[in-house]
Amino acid sequence: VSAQAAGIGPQPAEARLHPPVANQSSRVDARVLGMLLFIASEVMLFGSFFTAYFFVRLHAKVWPPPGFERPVYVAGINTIVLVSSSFTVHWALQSIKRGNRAGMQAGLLLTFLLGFTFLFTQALEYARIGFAPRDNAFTTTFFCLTGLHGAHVMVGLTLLAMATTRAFRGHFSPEHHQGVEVPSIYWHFVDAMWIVVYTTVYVL
Amino acid sequence: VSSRARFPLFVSEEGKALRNPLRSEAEAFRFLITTIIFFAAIVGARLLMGVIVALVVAIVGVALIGRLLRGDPSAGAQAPRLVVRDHDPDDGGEPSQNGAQRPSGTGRSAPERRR
Repeated sequence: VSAQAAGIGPQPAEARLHPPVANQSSRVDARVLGMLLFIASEVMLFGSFFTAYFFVRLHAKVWPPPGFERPVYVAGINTIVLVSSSFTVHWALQSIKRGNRAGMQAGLLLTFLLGFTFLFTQALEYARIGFAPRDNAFTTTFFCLTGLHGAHVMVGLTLLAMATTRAFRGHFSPEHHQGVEVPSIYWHFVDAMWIVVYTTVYVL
Repeated sequence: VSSRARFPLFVSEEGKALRNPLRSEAEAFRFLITTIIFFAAIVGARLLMGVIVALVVAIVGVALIGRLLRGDPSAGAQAPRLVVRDHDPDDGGEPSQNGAQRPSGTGRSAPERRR
């Protein structure tokens, strides 16, 4: 790195047109670090919702209140769908690491479709569930937790749509595939959160 | 500065730091599988043996996962540590070409500090 490249001393006119190279103090790649910080904030957000849920649940005599049935089996099938999507996105990344572009494209497309199926099924369940968020504390926490997770699936689908589009445009290679890896980390996190939400809200 | 000194709460007695389970896609995938197994064990214990056993399984599971996440502190630090080298000449002259170099992540070089 020369003195001029480091931003020291007289700079050529062309170099002054652009900002200097950002100083990177962390040993983690900036994009990965950004995603990790985002996920950390998400964990705290979910933590606050779970705190509200357990507070309401511990003060209830009967849980769930009589007359309120949770769609356990449909949500169980939805869980299988979402967990499957983590396997397909893992397959997509492994494929591009081995230079298999078709495998990556198929994996990303399948992941997107499985995620969309999950969200669509959840929306259908909301329409047929028979209670509303305003009914009582149980329904409020139920819709808050599942809805918060659904919003995250929506964000994940947006990231996956971008990655899939780029995959079909040939933007990724065995050497450059961070555009697949970062959404994959987020997707695995969203799936892990659903395991927690499903177990807590529907099963236990 | 060792990781134990910087993050004492996240270092085991053996001096091994907790690994970030979401550092890469492969680790995130393993974390998801671990989460599924962990919660399946809790649900199984709850359905077969009751709430108290499920609670014990949850506590033991958290402890086990914590131990699993304790790996080699250098495992997450694949990039080499960078060393600041001050090449500012003693006679007050202009810094050498090498002295103007600034390794990323090591702050400002001596010529920059004078500004």
